[in-house]
Amino acid sequence: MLTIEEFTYLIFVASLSNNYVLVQTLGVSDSMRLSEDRKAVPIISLITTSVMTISAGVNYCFEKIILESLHLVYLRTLSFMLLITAVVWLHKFFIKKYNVCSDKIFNIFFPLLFINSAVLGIALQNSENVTSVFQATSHGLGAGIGFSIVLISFANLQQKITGPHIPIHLQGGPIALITMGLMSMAFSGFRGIM
Amino acid sequence: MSSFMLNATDRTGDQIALLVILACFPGFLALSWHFGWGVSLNVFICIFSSVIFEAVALSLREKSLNYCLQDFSTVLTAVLIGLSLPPLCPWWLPIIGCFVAILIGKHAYGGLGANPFNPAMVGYATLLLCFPFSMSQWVAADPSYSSEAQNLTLIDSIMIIIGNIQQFDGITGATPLEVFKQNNGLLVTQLYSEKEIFSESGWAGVGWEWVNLGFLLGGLFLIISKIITWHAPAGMLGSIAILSLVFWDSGSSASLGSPIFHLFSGATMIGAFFIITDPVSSATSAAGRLTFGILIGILVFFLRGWSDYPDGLAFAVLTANFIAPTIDKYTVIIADSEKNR
Repeated sequence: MLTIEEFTYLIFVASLSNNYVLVQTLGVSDSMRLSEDRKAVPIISLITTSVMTISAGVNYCFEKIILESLHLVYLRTLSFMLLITAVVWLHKFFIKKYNVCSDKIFNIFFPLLFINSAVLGIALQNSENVTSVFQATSHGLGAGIGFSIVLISFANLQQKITGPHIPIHLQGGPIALITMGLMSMAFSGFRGIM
Repeated sequence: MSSFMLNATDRTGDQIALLVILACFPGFLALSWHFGWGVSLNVFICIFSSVIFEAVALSLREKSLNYCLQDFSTVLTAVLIGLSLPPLCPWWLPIIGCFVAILIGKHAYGGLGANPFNPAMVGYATLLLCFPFSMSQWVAADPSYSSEAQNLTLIDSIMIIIGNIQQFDGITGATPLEVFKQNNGLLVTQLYSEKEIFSESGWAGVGWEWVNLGFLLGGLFLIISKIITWHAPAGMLGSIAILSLVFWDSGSSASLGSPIFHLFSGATMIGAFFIITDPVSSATSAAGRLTFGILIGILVFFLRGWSDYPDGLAFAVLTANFIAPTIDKYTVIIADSEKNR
């Protein structure tokens, strides 16, 4: 089982000191493109967190129960990708059914969720670093929280980094990447938190 | 452009920046008294290079140069970087810091009044990440060494900065926060009696208590003359005091330090009154600024206690800077819903 210390530690490490977007640079393009629509960002970050949490648990179980007993660990990355696709399809089904978000967001957002490298990164790191499915799931939850922090704050920063006051050669992508870099510098202070 | 004048009733942005620079003076004097000529040299190099970089940036952006020379906010950024760098550091360190601060921290975002991050802290954090060794070489203010650091002549200090004299190693030492971080299992009372950085009558390390008192004095002047509001400093100092009181275990070897130690060591006071009160990069409403200050206080305490860095003010300020628009958004929503009720 999972102690409360382990849980807090995993949440802190995955969301702050090992933040997937800012420290490990996974899913940077997703967080930049998803944050363009400010109104949709809370629901998008909620869905992404849910996908990360569930797929982390599912992938860990699949690897330990099926792949290791069949000696097929070399198929790990491929099977993780398939399982992530399955988890995302499941979310898609429920979102369509209960009409959680508008069609426009739905059409832009779901293709990006399939190719979010952070989701695969969590699964791959879990297979080497954690020892139980509870740890794997809380690591996924922490990563989701970290992703949401970046997504929401970056979406609210958009107003300050778009507009005519930005020098013309830096408008759009360059200034967004510079901002991501400065945010990443801010997060590098959390290094070594134990 | 207008956000620099948020608090101004009848003063322009330039006058405000000039008064903030003047308010740094008590802290600057205390720093110079304890750490020698290095402080003045840092500030001088920073101002000189910042004004040049500002002129370069303005000419690249095809704006008028007069604008730069009248504008004291560049000088303010330079003074803040100069005061936070270790004295007697190599000459290229302040220049690189000012380069990053002015060109990336300020002009990449459109110059005065548009920067989402505090330029001074962008420069400082870059230096801290790129040159960790040079940035950790603080001149010691312990009684045994202080005479040496204080008695260095101006010429000797310049020679050390440009690298002609190698006696630099003898006069550096750990700062109080570093001593606390690597306490080797000593009790706090043992630390205070054994380490030379703590004097018997002092409470937060030789020199540092006076430096912080100086900045506190300047900060109170700014609040009295209505240049900054009390919200952000009160939030930051309050949350640091409360958190360190909660974690204070009356001095065991795992102690993180008493509230008075945290309030008067490191960059607490210069941060609370001069850095986080920058109106451009902090939150805009009063409730927002209070939240902003509290967030920075929590992060500073957290980083001092558990991260790799002895003092994490720069990282805390940068983190709070990119969260500030979110704070603004939600404080405005809460204020609106209370108004409609």
